[in-house]
Amino acid sequence: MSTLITLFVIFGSMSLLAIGGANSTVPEMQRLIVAQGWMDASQFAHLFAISQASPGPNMLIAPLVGWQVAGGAGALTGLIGICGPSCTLTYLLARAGDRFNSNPYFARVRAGLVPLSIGLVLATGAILAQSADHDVMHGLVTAVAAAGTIWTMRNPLWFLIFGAVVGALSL
Amino acid sequence: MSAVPADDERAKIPPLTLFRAFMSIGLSGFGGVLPFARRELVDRRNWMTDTEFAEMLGVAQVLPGPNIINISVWFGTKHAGALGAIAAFTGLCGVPLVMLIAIATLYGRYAGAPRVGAAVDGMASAAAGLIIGTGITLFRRAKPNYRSSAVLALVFVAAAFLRVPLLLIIAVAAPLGVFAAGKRA
Repeated sequence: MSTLITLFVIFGSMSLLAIGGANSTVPEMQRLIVAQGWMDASQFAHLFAISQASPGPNMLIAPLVGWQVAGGAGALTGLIGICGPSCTLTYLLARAGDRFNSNPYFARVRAGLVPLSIGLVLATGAILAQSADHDVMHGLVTAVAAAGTIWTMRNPLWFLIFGAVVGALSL
Repeated sequence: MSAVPADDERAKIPPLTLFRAFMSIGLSGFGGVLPFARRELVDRRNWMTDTEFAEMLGVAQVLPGPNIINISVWFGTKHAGALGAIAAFTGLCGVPLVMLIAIATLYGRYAGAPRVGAAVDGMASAAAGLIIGTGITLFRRAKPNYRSSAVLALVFVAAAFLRVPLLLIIAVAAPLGVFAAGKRA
């Protein structure tokens, strides 16, 4: 039981700290999990890579760690921990936002967040490309996937398959 | 006020439809869900414009918590209340979580094969391109004015190359963005 409580406290605090996205808390998450003695840093890194390569939100790393530590109850605790606090806040604001939605100041604030959100999306892509594109071939894969997203309506999955095939063949 | 629909004018979406849409987003989202979310909500379902998507994403980024989860709760609440939030969230996370646990259990068996690692490397490069392409598409469709574009460039350089802490970027860029958009609103 105390393991579940610790899991909840760790991921619950990550939930509230993750401003701008869950990936920003991954280093801190790793530090706390390793400090508990549940796994070492490289085991955590493997779990993170798996959660990135699998379908679904990357933050599913939290229930996955919970699963490794304490089975089904741990997975549920990890999920509720990483999502519960921030979801409650988002839900309350979405409800409150209803009342302010016709308020021109609220609309101005939302419009003002557009450059922030697009800038952060582009930065995330650039940071991922910096760590993933270690040669020209991989850089080309990134460029093809970006161009395909901009100029075609093709399902993004095709570009991931393309990347996987190029990667496997370039070995 | 026609730009901002009143609550009763906003399209109600049945929770089951929300569940299915977000399940399809979650199941496609290899290496990051955002490109698939934009494609499903804007291109395929026509539930919102690129500008509305960028605004919602901005709110999700400023709020704590995983962005895409915040989007599911926000979008679900707006279109079908509490039940909608639960439907969108469960659709997004439920099936992918079961798959993830299965994949993690299988992983040990194939982790040693070099081609598996190389294929995952190639997917990571493609995933980076998908996110860059999504950002550029949002930019082209949202058409920010010159001052907003300058704020956007500042955020991009600060986050991608100077590695300025995110909280600081938000604290500076959010008010700047509101100021930059001011005349237009």
